[in-house]
Amino acid sequence: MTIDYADPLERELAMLTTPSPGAGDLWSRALASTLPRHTGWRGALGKPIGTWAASLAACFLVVLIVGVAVLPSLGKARASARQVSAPASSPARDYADAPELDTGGVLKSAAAFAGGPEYKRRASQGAKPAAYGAVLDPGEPPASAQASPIERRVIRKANIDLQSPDVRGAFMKATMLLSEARGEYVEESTVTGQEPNLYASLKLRVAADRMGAVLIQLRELGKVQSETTSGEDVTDQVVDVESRLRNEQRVEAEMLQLLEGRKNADLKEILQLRESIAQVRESIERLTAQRDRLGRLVSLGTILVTIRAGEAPAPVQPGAWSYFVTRVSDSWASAVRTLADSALWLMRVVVGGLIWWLLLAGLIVAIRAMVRRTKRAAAEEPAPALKA
Amino acid sequence: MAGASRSNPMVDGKGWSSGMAQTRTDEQLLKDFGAGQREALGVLALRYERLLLGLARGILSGREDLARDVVQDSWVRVIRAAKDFQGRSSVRTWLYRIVVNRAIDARARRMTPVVVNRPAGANDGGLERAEQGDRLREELDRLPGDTRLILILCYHEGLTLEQGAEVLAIPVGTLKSRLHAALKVLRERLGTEAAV
Repeated sequence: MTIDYADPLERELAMLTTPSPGAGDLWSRALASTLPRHTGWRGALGKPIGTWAASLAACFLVVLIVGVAVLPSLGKARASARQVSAPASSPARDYADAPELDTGGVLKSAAAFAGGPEYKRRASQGAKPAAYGAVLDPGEPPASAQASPIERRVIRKANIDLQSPDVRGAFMKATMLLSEARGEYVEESTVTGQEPNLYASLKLRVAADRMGAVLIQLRELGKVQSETTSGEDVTDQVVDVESRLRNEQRVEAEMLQLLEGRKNADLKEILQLRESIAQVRESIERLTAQRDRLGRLVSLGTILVTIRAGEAPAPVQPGAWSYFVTRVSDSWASAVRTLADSALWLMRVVVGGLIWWLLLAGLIVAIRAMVRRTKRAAAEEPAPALKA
Repeated sequence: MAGASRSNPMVDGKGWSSGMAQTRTDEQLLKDFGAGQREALGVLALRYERLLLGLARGILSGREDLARDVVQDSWVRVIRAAKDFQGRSSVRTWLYRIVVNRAIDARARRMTPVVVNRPAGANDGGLERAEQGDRLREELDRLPGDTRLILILCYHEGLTLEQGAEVLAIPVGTLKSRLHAALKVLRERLGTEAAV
């Protein structure tokens, strides 16, 4: 806006700031000096590739940190939950020295079913397997771990599949292998079908230290089609039951002593004490029954015998196409399981770390807001400071 | 319309079509530049660069080299802050404030004892006029910084008094009174009288 000033001084002052002649190119030089900030390869949405790479790297790092931070705690929580909800009986485990079977299904070693040292001793003495509770006197002080290592308590099971032309004969002979004096018995037996296609099954309860010998005799009754053995280690359960039983018995003894010493006490107090003693006694009875049950299971193994007249159907050798289909099916199932596991992992990280994600999101939002505020504040240009 | 292009003979629509240059407001141009349209900055520069250069030269006692540095630095600041400009003031005010602040800083940091230059474009002055200009500059340089700034800003052709007051963030009345006082001081020092 050019104003024609009458006052020469004002004219001079106006001339001090007349627009400079020539082309204004300072802006383009300034732009050139800041060019790398405004150009460069751009990915999707027009942002520079470098920004995308940095964002992806930051996201990956965050997921890694949260996953590492969250998953161990989830694993610990899961492990403790397993301990809390552990079943009363231990899961079946392979017996450490399970007998080897050759290709004909013949037991190579019968020593596996010889039972523990206690049973060996009693067997050699010809002793009848007593109630389990009698082996350890509840009044005895608990043995130290160093003095007497815990004896393994294993519930033994065996399956044997026989083929015999005389099914009934083999059936009868199998039942006669048992020793009633040892407390052995036939828990279950069935015979089905018609001659010549008879089928028989027996569930034999056999003394643990005799299982090997009985199996050897069973093999002689026919052609062994298949044979399996297993052992379920219930040592932990037994130890647990015993320790709880001893504890309850101590408590009962103390309470009885207390009752004895307070004969002159209030009737109400005496009745309460007797009620408590009754509850403890009930607990003792329950634990004793549990202990005895475990004892019976350990002392008597189970042999499931199946006898059939004809050959067991031979396993069909799969053809190439069937093999392919089976393998593809297995691989598909495995892949789906892996996908499910991955999805579960992702779900655990996302949901399990939800609090962390929310905190992180809040932090990011706060940081962005702060950065935006700072930039906006920096963009504002203050008015030149004038002294009053 | 706030920030609209003035009828400035310097605006010739270089870069963009002249129609576009005339219809876009300063705020729109700045926003366009922030969105990535480099040409928008060129149009803004066409409107203001030479004016800003003149103002900077005035504050820097005729030092054209320093004035160019100041204006270029000011454009760098504009480029970097364009996206974050919130429009609390007009773009004009914002640009002028940036240049004025930088010119004041440059004067404080880089200027040695005053070197009086002939004002640009004063080819017809003759020796007397040049001497008058030199004397004016000398007296201006002796004035306090605020007084000098008010005098230079208020007589800058790119700003009205109201716009100058906005740049300085003071009321127009205050600016007028300070301008009057400044002129009085300057006249006394120059020994001149106000034009009748």
